[in-house]
Formats: sequence, C-alpha cells, structure tokens
Amino acid sequence: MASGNRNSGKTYFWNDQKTRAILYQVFTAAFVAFLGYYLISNVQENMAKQSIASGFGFIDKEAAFEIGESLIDYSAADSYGRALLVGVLNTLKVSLVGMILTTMLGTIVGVCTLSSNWLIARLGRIYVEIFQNIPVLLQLFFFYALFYEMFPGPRQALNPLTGVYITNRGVDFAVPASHPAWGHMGITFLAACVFVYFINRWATKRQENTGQQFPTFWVGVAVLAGLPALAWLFSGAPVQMDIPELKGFNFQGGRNISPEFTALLVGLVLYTASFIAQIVRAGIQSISHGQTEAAMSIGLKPRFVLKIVIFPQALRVIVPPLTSQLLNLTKNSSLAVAIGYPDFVQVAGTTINQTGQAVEGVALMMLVYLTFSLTTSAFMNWYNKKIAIIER
Amino acid sequence: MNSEPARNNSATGQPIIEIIKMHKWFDDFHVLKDINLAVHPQERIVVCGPSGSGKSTMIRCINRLEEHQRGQIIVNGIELTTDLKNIEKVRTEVGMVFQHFNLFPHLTILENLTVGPIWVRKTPKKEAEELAMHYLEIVKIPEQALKYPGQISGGQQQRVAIARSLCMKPKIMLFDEPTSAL
Amino acid sequence: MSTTTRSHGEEIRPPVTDVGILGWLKHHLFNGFFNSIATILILGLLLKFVPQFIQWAFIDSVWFTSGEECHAASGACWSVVTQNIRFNIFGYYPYEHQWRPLAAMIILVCMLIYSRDWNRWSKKLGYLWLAALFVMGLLMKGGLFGLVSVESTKWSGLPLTLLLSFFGILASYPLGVVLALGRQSKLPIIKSLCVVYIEMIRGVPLITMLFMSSVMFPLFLPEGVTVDKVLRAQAAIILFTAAYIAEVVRGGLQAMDKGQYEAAESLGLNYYQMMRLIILPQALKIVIPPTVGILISAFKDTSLVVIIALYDILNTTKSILSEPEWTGFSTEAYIFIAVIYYFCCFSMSQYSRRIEKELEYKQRDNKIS
Repeated sequence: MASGNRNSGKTYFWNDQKTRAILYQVFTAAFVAFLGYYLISNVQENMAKQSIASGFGFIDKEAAFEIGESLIDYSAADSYGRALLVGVLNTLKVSLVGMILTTMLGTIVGVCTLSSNWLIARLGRIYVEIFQNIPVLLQLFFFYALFYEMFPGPRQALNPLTGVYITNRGVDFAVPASHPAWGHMGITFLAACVFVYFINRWATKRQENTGQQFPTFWVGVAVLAGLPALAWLFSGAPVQMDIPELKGFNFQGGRNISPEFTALLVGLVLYTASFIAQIVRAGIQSISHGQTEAAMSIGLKPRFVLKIVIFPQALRVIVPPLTSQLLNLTKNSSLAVAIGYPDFVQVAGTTINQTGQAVEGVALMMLVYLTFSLTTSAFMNWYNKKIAIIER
Repeated sequence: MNSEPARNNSATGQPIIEIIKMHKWFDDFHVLKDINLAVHPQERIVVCGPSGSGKSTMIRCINRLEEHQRGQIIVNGIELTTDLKNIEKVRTEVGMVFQHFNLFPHLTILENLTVGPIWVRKTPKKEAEELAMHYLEIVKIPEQALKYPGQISGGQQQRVAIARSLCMKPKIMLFDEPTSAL
Repeated sequence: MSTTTRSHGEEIRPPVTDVGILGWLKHHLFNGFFNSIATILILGLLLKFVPQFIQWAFIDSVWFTSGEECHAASGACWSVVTQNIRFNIFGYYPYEHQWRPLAAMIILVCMLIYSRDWNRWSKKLGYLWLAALFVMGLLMKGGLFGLVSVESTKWSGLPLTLLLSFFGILASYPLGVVLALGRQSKLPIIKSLCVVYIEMIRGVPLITMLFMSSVMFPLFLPEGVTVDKVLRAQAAIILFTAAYIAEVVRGGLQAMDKGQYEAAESLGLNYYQMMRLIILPQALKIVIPPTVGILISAFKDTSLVVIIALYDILNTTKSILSEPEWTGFSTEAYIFIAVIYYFCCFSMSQYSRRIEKELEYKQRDNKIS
C-alpha cells in the first residue's frame, strides 16, 4: 500500500499499489500492441505475396455482378460502392419490416400467454416453446424450402385473395395503378399527423383547465383516415388497379415479393416474436396486481387503468430487452446469405470473393453492424435516463 | 368466515352498506358464509378475526375487487352485479387504503393524489392540485409533494395512501390492515 | 350497525357452475362473451387441421421406402430420415468407424446427466471430466491403441454440432470471466480494452466472426502455418460466446452485496484470493440460469457454420435433400432435425428453470436462518 511507506520504512516498489496498477496496464497494453503489430505485419506480408491490393480503392471499381432485388437502380456496371449500398438498403428493408411485424406478433402472443382463456394461453406457450428452441437458420431453410416444394408454379398459382397470387416465385399482389392522387394522399396524411399532434396538445390543455375530457384517440383516428380519404376523393377518386397477370411463364404487373425475402422475413419474425412474447409477458407480470386494484378502487375506468398505471410501468420493463431483441433481429438478418437474399453480408461476401480483400470486406461488415448497434444503444441510454423510476 | 353476531346500534335511516346473505367460495373453499351486515353513515366498524378468516375478502367484496357468488351487496343504494357502470359508480364513492398502500411508483406524490380527481371526477388540474395539497397538509407531509413514492418512508407512504383516497371525497372508506406493513 | 346471523343447517354448496369440471370450463374457457367465441373458433380450427396433420404424418406416411416410392405416397415421407439416418447424424465420418463418434456422444451425454446436480461438483468430478474428454478426443481422432486416425475435416453431423457448442462454451467460459473481471477493474487501460472487445463482439452478428475465421484468419498467420477450418470456426465461436458470457458474469458481480467485497478485503485477502474464494463462487452460482441461456443460444448458433461450408447436422440434411432421389422432402427432414434441436434446447432450459427454483429456495432459507 502507498501508505505503507510511512510505517514499515522499506517497501519494494513492486508492492506499491500505484506502481503495480501501472505495471499491469503497461504489460497488457504492450501485449495487445505486439499482438496487433504481429497480425498486421503477417497480413501485409501475405497480401503482398498473393498480390492482393489493400485499401478501399475497390469501392469505385465496377462490381460486375448482378443483384436480385434492389430498392435503388443498380446494374452490374455500377461500382462496388453502389452494390454495397444496395446491400445495406436491403438489410434495412428486411429489418424494419421485420421489427414492426415481430413487435406486433410478439406483443399479441405475449398477451395471449397471459389470457384467462386456457386454450389461448396454452397455444401461446406452445408457440413460444417451439419457435424459441429451434435455430433460426433451420427455420429460414424450412420456410424457403416450403416455397419451392409446397407452392405451385405460376400456371397453378394459389389465389387466396383476389389479386394475390402465391407461387414458387414469390408472392404477387395487385397495387393501385400510378396516379397523382396517391401522392396527394401521402401529403395530406403527413398534414393530418401534424394536425392530430396539435389536437392532442389542445385537448391536454383543455383538460388541465376545465377538467373536460376529449376523445383524442377516436378523433385522431378519424382525422388520420378522413383527410387522406378526402384528398383521394378530390383528386378524382382513382380505382384503377395494377393487377398481376400470367404472361408466358410468369406474372407481369402488380408487385412481387421474392421467395427469399418472404422466407427470411417469416423466419426472422416468427423466431424473434417468441422472445418478444416472453419479454412482454414478464413485463406485464412485473406489475403487481395491487397496482391494478389501487387504480380500480379510485374508480378509474379500465382503459385509464391501462393508460395511466399499467402501460407506463410495463414499458419501462419491456423496452430495454425489446430493443435488444430487435437489434438481434437486425443481426440475424445477416443469415439472408444462406438463402440467397442480397443483404449487406451477401453483397460484401461476393465483394470479398471477387477482390480477395477479406480484411477490408470483414471490416466493412463489422462497421455497418456496429453502427446499427451503437445507434440503438445510444437510443437505449437516452430512453433509460428519461424514464428511470426514481427510487431511494 | 362466519359473521359474528354484533351489537345492535341505535343508528337509524338507510344503511350505506348493506350485505344480505352473502356467500363467497374460492373454488371449493367456502370463505364467506352467509354474511349479513348493515353499516350506516358516520359509523366506524372494525372487523377482527384470525388471519385467513376472510376479513380482507369481505372488504374487497364491498368495492368488488372480489366477486361474491350468492346474496346481495348494496353500497350507497347501488347493488353490485356484473354491471360495469354500477361498479365504477360504487368505486368512486368508496375509498380504499391497502395493506401495502399500492402507490403508483412512476408518479410523484402529487400526481398520485390528482389521478383520481382529474380522470374520474373531471376536475381541472389546478383545482385537483390544490385539493391534493390541502389533504397533504392534513396528513402533514406537503413538503414531499414532488417526490416519488420510492423516496419516502413507509409511514409517509401510508399517509399518502390515505390522502389519495380522501382526494376522491369518498362516502365510505375501507382500510385493509394499513398498519401491518409498517 | 345491524344484526348479523349465522345460518345453521345444511351445508350450502357453491353454484354448480363454479366448481368441478363445469367450473373449470366456465373460468378457463367460457368466461365472458369474447373468450367463449375465441374458444369455439380455436377448437374449430384445431379440429380442422390436427386430423389433417395426423393423416399426413402418420396414416398416409411411408417410413422405410426408397425415394421413388415416396414420390408416389400421399403422406409424409419419413424414409428420407430413416434411409439416410447414418449420413445425417455422422456425415462424412468413415462408415465402418461411426461407432466411435456414437460412443463419444454417449459418454458426453452420460457425463452431462451425471453432473447436472451441483452437489456432485467436486475436484474428483473435474478429473473424471478430464478423463472423459481424453477418451472422447481419442475416439474421435484415433491414431492410438489401434484406432484408425480420422482427419478432423471428416468430422461432421451431430458430433460436430455437439463438439462446436460444447467446446465453445467450455473455452469461452474462463475467457468470459476474465473479460468480466477486466470490465469491472479500476485500471483504465484494462477496463477500456475489455469494454471495447465486449461491445464490439456483441455489436456484430456471429456470421461476421465466422467470415473472419474462414477468409481473414488465414491471412493473420505467418507463412506455412495453416489451421484447419473446424478449429478456426471453433475459435470464432469461442471468441464470440465469451463476450456474452462476460456480460452475464458482470451481472452476477454487480448483483453481489458490496459487503462481501469489504468483508473479504478486511480479512486481508488480496484481489486474486478475494475473487477466487469469495466473490466468484457466489457470483457464478447466481448466474447459472442466464449462462444456460447463453449455452442454448450457442448451441443453436453452431448451425451457422453451414454458411462457411462446414458439415454440421443442418448441412448434412441439406446435402441429403440435394440428392435427386430425396429432393422435395425437406419438410420431413427439417422436422426431424428440428425435433433434435428442440429436445436438446428444451432439456437445457428445463434444467435452468430447475436451478432457478433451487436458487430461490436457497435464498429464502438464508433469509430465514
């Protein structure tokens, strides 16, 4: 100990707490630095021998491979950079759609497992048990195989709803034919959102001042649905649909969702929802029954019991693990590579194969996913700070 | 629990709580057997008995946190049935202080007190807060108004729980062993 | 207050609709309008689909036929499982020596079952494990006592899955504990190195680590040194799992009462002694349930080695399905390995639930005494 100097007269320097701390750290740092240096020099040597270029110069070169589906215009003549961008967008697409669907499904199943109806609760639990205990990759393969083996070719397409065709080439469905009215509806919808926000503020103010309540929720729904409907009516009320039609060997028109995307989405959503169901269930269970009883005993209506007492408390418990599950979904979307959906990992993998620049490729992969993760944890920290229940 | 014969009070007029031949079972277990009780305004009644005898259950039947299976319960002239509107009406007139207080941990003391007046009685926020401060002064902890339940002591929590019930200006107050958790 | 009377005479029964089977049905299936409708709807759906499934899976199914006969059958073709069972489970391991991985797996399972009760955990059990590991390694690799040597590139199927997950967790555990201690350390450089490592690994999918092991790792090695693919994948899984273990262990360290640290220090124990004798034994015990959770996900995650072309049980199944004779029966084949995975994961999670209960009892007992 540092104070030992005074008492015992003689202290070996290696017994001094501060010296030791510094020594340990210097050793560790030196070890890590040496390891890093050794690995990097090996990499440089190997790359020189195999005459692989280094650096990110390949980004601007022509990619020379096709990508099955893309949100932006892309052809083989475009650069690697654009190809990677296509991959990032595809990852984001499947992740965002997946997050929304899985949160909805997980919440429903979680509430079901707590249902007073024995049958519903049991089915909910069976769902959770099964989907949680089977690897997500196996589920992806299963759903992908289902497409190819169970669903017929375009000529015998399944037609569950009018305008929707399921074949082994994906799902084809009708979309409204292009018309300026759809754009107008989008704009009015945004305007309606702003309007509802102000209605909400006004209603809160009014309640504070007069005590009168305003049916904000129903008025909000009416405005959000009504204003775009009016815009549609005044823009000429187009009803023309772009319906997929069988031409030759495949469907033309409408919109097509590829089997890869569908299988990936279904697999990820079903798998992650089983975890979210448990989180939701635990969150609701964490609120003691006494809270509900106390709220009911002051005469609150059931929906206010939920709004004022249950939800705010349950969300505190649910949101942190929920976010990490949604992040898991994003990370698991990298399994797309196994069934051929062109997500970022697949595009980066192809890039590595073509250029041989493994270090840069893997570094890019890590960078992209780290960005997702760090953004999420920044949000989490902010949220946790905002809502932490103050306790002694 | 069997209701014990009690003293007959000279109180007159309509009873505010009336329990007539009420039975309650938990599965096969007969908790409350043929309870008859009438309570008049201004009366204070203490129910005693060994633990597990059904005191809490009986109290909780009065604001229908528990359902009774036979007999009648009439509170403030309203019979408790499956009619949800009636149950809400009864609950606004019946205040209850729980064994563990059940304060809302995510709301400040002041908000705990104003939830009822604002959302049930539709009082303007300012009035509700004045009312809440009034009762906090009566229970002598006005300086704690902006703290959260987790930050105050058990005794203070109990007073907040009582004040929360009083803010609804109830005609009937039920206390379910509120001192046992101290 | 008025009178209350006590009724004598015959015992009053609760309403018949509140007890017995009727009561159960009323409270659990038909409580309220919506629940009744939901019950009827679900029962209807079950009645429609369950018989269909049974018809497909058991009545119309074929079990021990060739692929051609399967295509003619209207039900499930379980032959795809039964006819290929040995390749499915053991993969490319030499056919006549397949008893060896089987024996190794049986030893592993027996050891795991024996060790499930922590009252049996002792030094002796540790030595027994070492001996068992040696025997299992010998059985797999051969080359001694007249056993023919089998290259690790031939290891595939279920033994590979078990190997990757078992050694993955075994080796990552100590590494994870060290990382957790490092993250809790007061030394800034050590702490930040550990934090960076843990957060970086947890921020990327396992697949990037596997890619790293398959395409980047060879570049790291000096010329002439090669490490085979299975080992590289194993290393990636270990490095990946360690970060998750570290976070779980950190949770245990944080849950420890501060008084334990102070008491240990006041006894004059140094850091190493304090951790080894006082803190870790308690902290690691309370994190057994979440650790089993990590074990389960590590087990499921080993299936990702398919992507770097290792033949674990999922990939052997895929290669069976790619044979012309058996294409089109993926549902049956995947259901079979799903059952295997389910069985393993389910028993692990039951184990963790049991431990959790035991820990709860212990805590309660401690509080009472």
